[in-house]
Amino acid sequence: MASSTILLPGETVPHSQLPESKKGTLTLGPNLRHLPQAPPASISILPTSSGLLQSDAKKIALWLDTPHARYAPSVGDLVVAQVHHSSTETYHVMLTPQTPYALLGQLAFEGANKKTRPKLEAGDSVYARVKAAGRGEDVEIECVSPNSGKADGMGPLKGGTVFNVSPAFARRLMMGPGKGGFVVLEELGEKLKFEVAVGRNGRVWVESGSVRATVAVGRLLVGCDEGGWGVEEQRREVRRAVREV
Amino acid sequence: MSPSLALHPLVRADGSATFTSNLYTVLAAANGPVEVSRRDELPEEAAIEVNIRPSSGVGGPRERWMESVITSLLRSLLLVHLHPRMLVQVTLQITAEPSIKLKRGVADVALLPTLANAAFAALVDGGLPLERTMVAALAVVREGEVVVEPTEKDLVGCQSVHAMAYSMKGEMLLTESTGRFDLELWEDVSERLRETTMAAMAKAGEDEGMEGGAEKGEPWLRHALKENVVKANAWREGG
Amino acid sequence: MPSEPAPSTNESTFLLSALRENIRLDGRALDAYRPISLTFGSEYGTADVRLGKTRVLAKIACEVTTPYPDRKFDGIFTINTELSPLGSPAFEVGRQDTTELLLSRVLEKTIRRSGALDTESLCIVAGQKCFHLKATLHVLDHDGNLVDASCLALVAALLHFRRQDIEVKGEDVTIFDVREREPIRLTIQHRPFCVSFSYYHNGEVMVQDATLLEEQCRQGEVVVSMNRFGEVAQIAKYGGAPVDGLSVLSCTTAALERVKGFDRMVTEALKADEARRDEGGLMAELSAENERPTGSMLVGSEN
Repeated sequence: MASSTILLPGETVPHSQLPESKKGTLTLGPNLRHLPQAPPASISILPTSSGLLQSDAKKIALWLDTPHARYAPSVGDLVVAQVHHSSTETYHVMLTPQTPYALLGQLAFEGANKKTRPKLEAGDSVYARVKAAGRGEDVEIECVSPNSGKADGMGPLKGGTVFNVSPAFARRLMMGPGKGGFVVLEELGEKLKFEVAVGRNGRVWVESGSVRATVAVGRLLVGCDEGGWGVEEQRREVRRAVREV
Repeated sequence: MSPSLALHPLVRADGSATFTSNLYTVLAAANGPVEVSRRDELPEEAAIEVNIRPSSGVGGPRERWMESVITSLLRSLLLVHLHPRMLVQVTLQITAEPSIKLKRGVADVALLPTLANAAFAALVDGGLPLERTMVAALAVVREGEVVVEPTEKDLVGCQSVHAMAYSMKGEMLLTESTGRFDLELWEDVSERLRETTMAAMAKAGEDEGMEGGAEKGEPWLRHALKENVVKANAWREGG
Repeated sequence: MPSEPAPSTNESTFLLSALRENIRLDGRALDAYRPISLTFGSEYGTADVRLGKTRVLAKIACEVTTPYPDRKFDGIFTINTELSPLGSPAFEVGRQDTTELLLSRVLEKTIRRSGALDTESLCIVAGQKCFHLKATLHVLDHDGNLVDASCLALVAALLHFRRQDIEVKGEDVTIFDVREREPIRLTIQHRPFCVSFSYYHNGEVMVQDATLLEEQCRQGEVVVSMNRFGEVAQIAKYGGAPVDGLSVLSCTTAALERVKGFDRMVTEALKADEARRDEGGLMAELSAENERPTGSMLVGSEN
């Protein structure tokens, strides 16, 4: 749902912008905080950054997007992580540079036991889900769905390469077809064969079997992120890229 | 002339901003939250590291002093408790300065508002959690007159220089002065600076109602931040 | 301890196999540079170079000091390169890493030791007073090939800089303010530029203007510094794998073409800057004439 309320840090969210709720509860997403010591009968919700106020009437949720912020892990996010080193029972993996390593249990893979667990080397990439990310504690990730016990597409990423995009763009990519104003992958999918794994941490893994096609996919992703292409421009660039491949 | 602010001029740093006042241009970069060295780690909040780099040569005691002033200002802005055992790193690079050589003490105070505004904008751009919005401004007293946002010429031979920062709610966050002045004059200066800084953050439509809103300048901070948000959300229009 | 993280195995393997097929990740040819831009600041002696995402700002400052006792007839010229977290979160303040060390060493050899700047012209009174020219390089964004970008920025800034004019009468020295007398240019004897080549697959693949990722994956590099007349200031080869003499020779040939391009670019940028300044100067002069009653005349440039 689009709104046009742009807020600055510390400005109170106007009451007219708060979604109606029957239960009287409201979910606060990123970049918003609630001041409990505010006088009674007034809800004081303050943004911690400047941005466009986003709301979801169905989920009764309110949040603010920050376009350039460093990725902050949150439970359930899918990420492309890079193994840095391993200890007896865990792999220490990097989600974003210059932040403490996240932990990945050596048995946190589908059907893994002491004998069948995948052997990962430093530098290997995995597609994983954030399992725990509390304030002041280590971030944990896993390559197995907690509900089904299945991999669900997660696990080690073999071959291909990884491209860096902004975390905000990665979020758009994950909104799914038709949403997020991004059509490159769908358009390209009609012409080329490739696999992608989008990590919320701004890392996108691409594999197509051919160097040329992989480079084409990666360049379109990075170009769209940095150039801010509109839908028409994306279509044009896809056509050009397909011709070149 | 109202100051100019450009957001996200750099690629590698998480957040960045270029701020130009009548006197200086400062390029700021904010990185964070990033890993902190064991020595600087704070168990319950984020450590703040400010680095000021002069336009030529390496920094000395003057820069260290300005760093400490800016660090304590940023501590009052950032919600440091949200990122314990992490680091917020702010680098401030001076890229243009007045061509007239100013007295040391005067130059140090005169630079502070530009540094503060650039640092704040870089933190906003980097999406770091902030408690409040602020604007800093400079004033000099010259022949008994208060001159807000002075030019190079105003600084030469002035009686006193005052750098102050205010939050959107009018709380004073920073005050550094040098020169000869009394309390009455200081109060006068602080009131003038409060008006100037509040005008930079004023909501559209609010400032017209205020008396003399136009001459206090346009809400440049709000404009620049708004523009940045609009640009980042352009894709939502489906265009 | 922050550091530039090593690329993942996927990235490095892919990059190497792509280079085998002569493909670069950004679609460039092996010997192509990213788009270059060179702009000058409003102050004399500031040059801003962008090379793709890499961005370097060079600034020249000048002050009067006493010359070194063993070099009485020479002024002092120093180059200061310090990488800050501005350029990359991986750079730490006050810690010198190898990138910085190699960068300052190459610049030292290319510009200072090749005698690009006539330091004797910086002498005011032999053994007593001289100019100290300080060049500072600010790396604003680091995405590979800092050497070429920095060298280009530094040479451009030196050519752009004007120092205060002086007058020596016996023992008396007058240093004129910029407002009193038109400042004067430095004496530049030649313009050396650096061209870096990264090599892969034991020197079989050579790449110009490597990005950060390409630099991280390379086996080694060859840096050639020369001027547009093909006079080589220095050649450096870093990294373990051997490179045969013939390919170094082909590096110098390729470098010459590139250097000629750099030289032309700097000349044109300087000309454009001068034209802009002249316009401003004339305008200021005219307006000053109109306000004659005020007495002071201000000739300056504004933008």
